[in-house]
Amino acid sequence: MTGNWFHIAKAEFQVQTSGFKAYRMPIAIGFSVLGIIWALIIAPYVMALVLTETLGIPQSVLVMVMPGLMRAGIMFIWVILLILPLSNALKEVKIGQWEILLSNNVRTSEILVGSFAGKLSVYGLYVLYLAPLLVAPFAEALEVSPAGQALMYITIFVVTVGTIWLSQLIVTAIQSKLAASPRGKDLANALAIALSFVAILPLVGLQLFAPLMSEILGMNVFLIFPFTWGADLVTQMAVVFNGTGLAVGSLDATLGFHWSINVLLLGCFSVALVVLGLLSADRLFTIRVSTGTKSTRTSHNENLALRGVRRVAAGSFGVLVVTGLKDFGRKAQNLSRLTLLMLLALTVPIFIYIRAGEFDLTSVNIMISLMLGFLGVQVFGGSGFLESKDQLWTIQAAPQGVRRYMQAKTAQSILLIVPVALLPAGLYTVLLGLEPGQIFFLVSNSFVSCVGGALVGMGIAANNPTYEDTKSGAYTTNNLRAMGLVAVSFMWHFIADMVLSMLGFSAVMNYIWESQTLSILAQIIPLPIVGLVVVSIGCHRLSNRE
Amino acid sequence: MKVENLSIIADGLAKSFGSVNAVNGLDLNVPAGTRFALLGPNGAGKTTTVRMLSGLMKPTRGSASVCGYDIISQKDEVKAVTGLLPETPGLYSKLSATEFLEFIGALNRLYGDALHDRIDALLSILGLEGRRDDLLESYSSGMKQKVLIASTLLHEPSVVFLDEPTSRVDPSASLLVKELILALAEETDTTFFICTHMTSFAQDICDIIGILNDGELVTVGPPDSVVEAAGAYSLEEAYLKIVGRRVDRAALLAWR
Repeated sequence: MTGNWFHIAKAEFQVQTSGFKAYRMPIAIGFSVLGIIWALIIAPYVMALVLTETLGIPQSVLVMVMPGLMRAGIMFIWVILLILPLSNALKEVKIGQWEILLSNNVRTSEILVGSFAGKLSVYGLYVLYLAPLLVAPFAEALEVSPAGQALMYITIFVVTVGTIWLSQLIVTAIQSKLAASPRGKDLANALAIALSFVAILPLVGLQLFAPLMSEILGMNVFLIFPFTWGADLVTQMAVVFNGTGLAVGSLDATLGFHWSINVLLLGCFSVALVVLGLLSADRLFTIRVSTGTKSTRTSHNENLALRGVRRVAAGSFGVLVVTGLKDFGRKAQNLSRLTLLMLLALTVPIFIYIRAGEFDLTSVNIMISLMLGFLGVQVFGGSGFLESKDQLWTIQAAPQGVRRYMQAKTAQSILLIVPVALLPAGLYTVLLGLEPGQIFFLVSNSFVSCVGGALVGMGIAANNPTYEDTKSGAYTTNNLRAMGLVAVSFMWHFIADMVLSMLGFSAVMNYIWESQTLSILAQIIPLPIVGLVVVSIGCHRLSNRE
Repeated sequence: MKVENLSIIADGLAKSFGSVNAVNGLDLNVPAGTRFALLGPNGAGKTTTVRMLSGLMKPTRGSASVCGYDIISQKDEVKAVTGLLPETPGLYSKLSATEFLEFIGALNRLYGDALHDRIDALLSILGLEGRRDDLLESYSSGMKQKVLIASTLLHEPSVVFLDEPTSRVDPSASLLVKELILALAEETDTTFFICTHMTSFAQDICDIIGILNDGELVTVGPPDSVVEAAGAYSLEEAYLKIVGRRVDRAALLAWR
């Protein structure tokens, strides 16, 4: 008789592959077969072609960079496998499902094993496609024997399985602590947003600071991380089984431990994780609401800013704005999103400087404006726009309720954007040593772009509300549309340039490009205009009756 | 019956969602100050009817007026004179009860001392004065329902639509809601249009009962008349006879 864990794994697999449920098995098998062909035949051939024919990288160079790149690559896989499932799972706290399973006499360890096995199949596919990109270049350059290649893949497989198991354990522990309370859900969402940001950091790091990262990851301090043991072991397998005559001990100085110690550490770590998970399952799966999510939060006296808004807008509209600001400020997920995007707005110009070596007002202004446009979309549109359909009914039930709600939302966003726009502008004022006129220019552009992004975000959300469902296709579509509109609004001058040239009016654009101010305004101004149009359409659609 | 004494008039009101007819040709007259109960099984079209009459949903066919305002061309006027308690709560979890009621009041253009006095009074009547500043995320479902009832009455509507008002509250709160409805109806001439499948609740407080089945109003009249016409001993029995949902004991165990 099949164990309960199998049924849970099957259900988890069905959830993961619900997008193509009609052809679930043929597609899964097809992808698996294709993945194996890719790993064994296509990837080594393509990588060899790229390395030797196109790039012409000497074998000695590859051997030198291999330990660092392997550590960076495995760290990337580790972070993706650990954090993305964690981030996804936090968006959907499953206490209700656990209650059903536990009431059906399912053992806690079976839930853990089943959830793990269900995820393994899908995330395993990701690795099947990604790992060859990492292994094949070195296997090809060092002419690693098939047995050596098999050991390299087995090592990556062990690292992968261990990471997914660890991720499952952490998800379980966090979910059971947060439980299904509204506050727990909010905190889980905030954590998910923060984690998804952490997951992209290694990718950004690899893009911008690949040599620096390799150098940093080569330091001995990284020997405490399990991904380093796995990465070093893959490198050592390649060297031990190489067919080029490379001496086995040639990388001993670069790599921290002997291969046997890495095997021991990785093996012990993996076994300890499994044992720890199975033994602690009963403790982890105890459904309880933690003190933090159970405590009753109370509204306090209004602060100076809110009292100021009430004084300026004394009527019912002021009340709408103030309650909207309170609701926004109390949601952990809003603050999480705002903080992370603010960090991006603050740091992206610096990244660009590192990459391109340029650091002037024009490029900083464009980068900050673009990032603040995205911030506007993500923070003021999307899931923070309306909580539920029932909330919409409540708003629609008031005379001209939707129009007044949208107006209040816009005013609320503008008030919040004032400090948001000042922060990056302030940083770059200091870094670039700007004049008062330049400061005004930077602040006003930042503000206008962020407001434009917010209007686009709210308009798209109003046009097709997805409420707090961040896993639906509609939510993704909304996000892509809004971000796309912001990006296109910033690039419209390319189109205008082309069209005007075709019509014989290229002098118009030339005149604009000759002036620094006009050219920046030409890039910034379309966004708020597009935002106003989109938000007006959204407001109209949201007011429409079914 | 004079038209000017009628709060709600529906004439052939219908709503379809694709091929599904949720409400089919509803004819209805509800006099002002009446407590009208719309009974019906799940999916009978009660919520759709309420949403159309409160100006939230556009009928596919037919017409209706509420307090003399046409629900199609004068939806904002209809909303101004009606209050709607939705079937499921659409609260703002991060606002306190006072703040949420302030928000609803502001949507209805109320503010200042007049609004705050009304909020204080309603929260006190509903027994929530001690939790008024706690965020709604910490409220039980019954407490949330009380806040929603307060929000429905806040702007003193002439017609109140209550969709399953007691489905989430305990018996004592249910009694409180009943008394509140009776007091308001008697003192202020407010019309109550209550959707429910709780026959005892409807029988206790309503003077007219309509039974909706598969989108059609199959019977309407005072509770006693409905019971008598169905040849039943109670409203529950009459309801079961009319909607045809009898319990077959043998069938209940057929799955074993």
